[in-house]
Amino acid sequence: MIAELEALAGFRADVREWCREHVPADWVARMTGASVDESLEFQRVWLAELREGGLAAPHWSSEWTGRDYSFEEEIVIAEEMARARAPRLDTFFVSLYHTYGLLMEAGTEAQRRRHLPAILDHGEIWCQGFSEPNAGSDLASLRTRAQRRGDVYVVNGQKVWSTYAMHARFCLLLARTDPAARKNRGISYFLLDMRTPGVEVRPIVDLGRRQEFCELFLVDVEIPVENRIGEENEGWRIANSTLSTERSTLLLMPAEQLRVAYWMLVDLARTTPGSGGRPAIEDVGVRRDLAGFHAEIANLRLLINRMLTQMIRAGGAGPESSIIKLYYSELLQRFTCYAAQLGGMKTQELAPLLGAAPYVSGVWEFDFLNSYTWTISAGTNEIQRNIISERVLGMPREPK
Amino acid sequence: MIHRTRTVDMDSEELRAAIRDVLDREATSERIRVVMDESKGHDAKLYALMAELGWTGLAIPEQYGGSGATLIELGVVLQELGRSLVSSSFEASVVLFGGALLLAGREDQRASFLPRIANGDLLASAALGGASGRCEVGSLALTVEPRGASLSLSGKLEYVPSADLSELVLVAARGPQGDTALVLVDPRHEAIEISPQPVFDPTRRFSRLVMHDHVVPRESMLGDFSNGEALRERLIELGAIALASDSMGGAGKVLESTIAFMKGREQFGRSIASFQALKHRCVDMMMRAEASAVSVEMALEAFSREAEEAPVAASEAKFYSCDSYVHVAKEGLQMHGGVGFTWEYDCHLYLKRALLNQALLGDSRWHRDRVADLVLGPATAL
Repeated sequence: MIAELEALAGFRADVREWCREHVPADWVARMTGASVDESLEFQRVWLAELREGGLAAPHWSSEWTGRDYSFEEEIVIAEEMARARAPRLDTFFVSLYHTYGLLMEAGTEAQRRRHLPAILDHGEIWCQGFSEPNAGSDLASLRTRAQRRGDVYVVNGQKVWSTYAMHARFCLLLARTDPAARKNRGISYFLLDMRTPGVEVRPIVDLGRRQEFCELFLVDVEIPVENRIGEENEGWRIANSTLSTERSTLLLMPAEQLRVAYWMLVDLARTTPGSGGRPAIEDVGVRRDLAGFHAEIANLRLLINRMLTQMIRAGGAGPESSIIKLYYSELLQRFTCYAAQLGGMKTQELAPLLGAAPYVSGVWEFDFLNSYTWTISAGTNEIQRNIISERVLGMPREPK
Repeated sequence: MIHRTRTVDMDSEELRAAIRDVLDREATSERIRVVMDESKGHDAKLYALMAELGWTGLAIPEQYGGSGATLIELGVVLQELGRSLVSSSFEASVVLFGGALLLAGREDQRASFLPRIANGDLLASAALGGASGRCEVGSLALTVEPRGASLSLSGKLEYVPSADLSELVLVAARGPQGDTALVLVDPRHEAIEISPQPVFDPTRRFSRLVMHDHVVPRESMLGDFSNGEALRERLIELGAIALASDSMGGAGKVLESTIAFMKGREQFGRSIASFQALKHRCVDMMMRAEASAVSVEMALEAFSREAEEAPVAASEAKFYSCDSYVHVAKEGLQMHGGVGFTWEYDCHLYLKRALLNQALLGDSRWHRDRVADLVLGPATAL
């Protein structure tokens, strides 16, 4: 427990009461095996519900009809949502976090007025157009070209891994405006209306046979000059400063879920036969492994608490959240892989999947495969290690 | 000149800085080597200074001549002693023996020993079991038999920390009902055969104690047969947290000095700290060190307020922090290359201390088994 939060007991009780009244008890069962449309509809309903309670965007300012919650209150909300096993707003993640962070930091008043109410009131979905087939970890080498012609930029190129692009109304786009400049100096940041002629979206089927992320093909797409964010060729700097505002409280939910998941693994060990036909949980090796996971999961929550306490006292996210993301994602991967291997053929059996799933659903093999979204997306763990070694440990960059 | 600032009324980070300041000057790599050759695992000069600066009395109540701080502050001292590879009887005298008196000592026992621990005059130790790496009551090789107003002790105690320097050793012995007694003995008594047990880690000092029908008065007991085992468990937890603290401090230092070494070492025309393969391994070392730190802090805090979760937290801190220390020390030695294999560099000292910490007072298997029993319930078939 973070000491600074003790004064918020009354606020916590209110949030807990709200969750008790509003989090649908049967949502996991209802959404298991749900279609794309059903999942989307569920996300919209849940967004509206949270908005009514003032809890959809705890970090938004009241000017845009957030509630001006303090950082401490934000933590309490995240803790209580995790405790109540509330569904996450996956579909609106880019909208609520990246678009809001970008527009508040680098957008114009007109852009905020057009887009922020549309997100919160109408559930407008945004996607990201950053990665390209040849620009993944080396994002700054992106080649999608934007050429100024009068009042518009004409964009040509290809983007990839744009999550929910098929549902998105707008896209946060990075494109090259000065091919002669050094690679991270010639990039600009745009808001792209997905209904513009020349935008083609092709979903990619992922390893779970779901269609969540997409390729974007952009052929002579015209973007009005007023939809550029910041100055021309300033896109890389803007993207870097707004990405680092990714919210540290978001790690609370997966950490709490892992605690719940621990007891799901214990149940699996109780019901799976081990050596001599006795339950696996009586096997000394299994018990030692379970003790290890228990400690690592406890440490995860302690690391998060330490980071949040530092943020309350000193402000600023710092590199701590990269360290925790690394620790969490690799623990999640080992943990779910362990469970998938412990269950024998039982965990090999194909089972219906949960849309907008918690990170651990109990369909262990699926959970394990899904864990790669954490270790690969938003900067692979290898890139995270480079960043941490340079920014935290002060080790020199590799020469170019 | 040493700042003779006593360590009362400082917050943890000031306390850490003050301790580190002293140890950076008084427990240098050269000094460690002198101590390991001349006095084999106890730096008496440094210990006297530690007492003068108030470290030995830090967590002893003011009425017994201490500063009345908590285990959390004591943990900071232990982390810093681990960081500087200090050789001393601090863990044995202050943490284990002092801790036992605070947990279960009679008023007369506390009054006669605690002030002397606080001022550094009394060196003492505790033998709680765990010679085989396992620490349950069945592993005790010393038995106790009540005989009227006396107790008779027979058997042996192994790897007792700095017992040959101690005036008193608190020994755990198995009673006739499979129960446990904790008894104060004088290791220099003629009925006790004491012999050195050198270990690979040259910064630590151990002895074997053998006795046959050694008779002591019943008042030498701490607690009684009914609570002896519970008390022994609390003391194992306390010792485990101390070792976890030492390991956390050591791991942090190895990470720091390995990176500093790599930055200065050039191969192929560039600093080897710029090689990605090595940077990634350093990040893994750092993650283990960071997670150890929060685990140890949690255990110190839980134990000091006698929280329900303290037993699990103590065992988890022990195996997580000690396993991490071994990992970090192995990596640190390897990344130093050839010089990591020399006596001159400290890499081997950290690795040896890490392996010793892991083996002492219940190895990682034993503590994992203990956590499993506490969290999952006992395995019925085992």
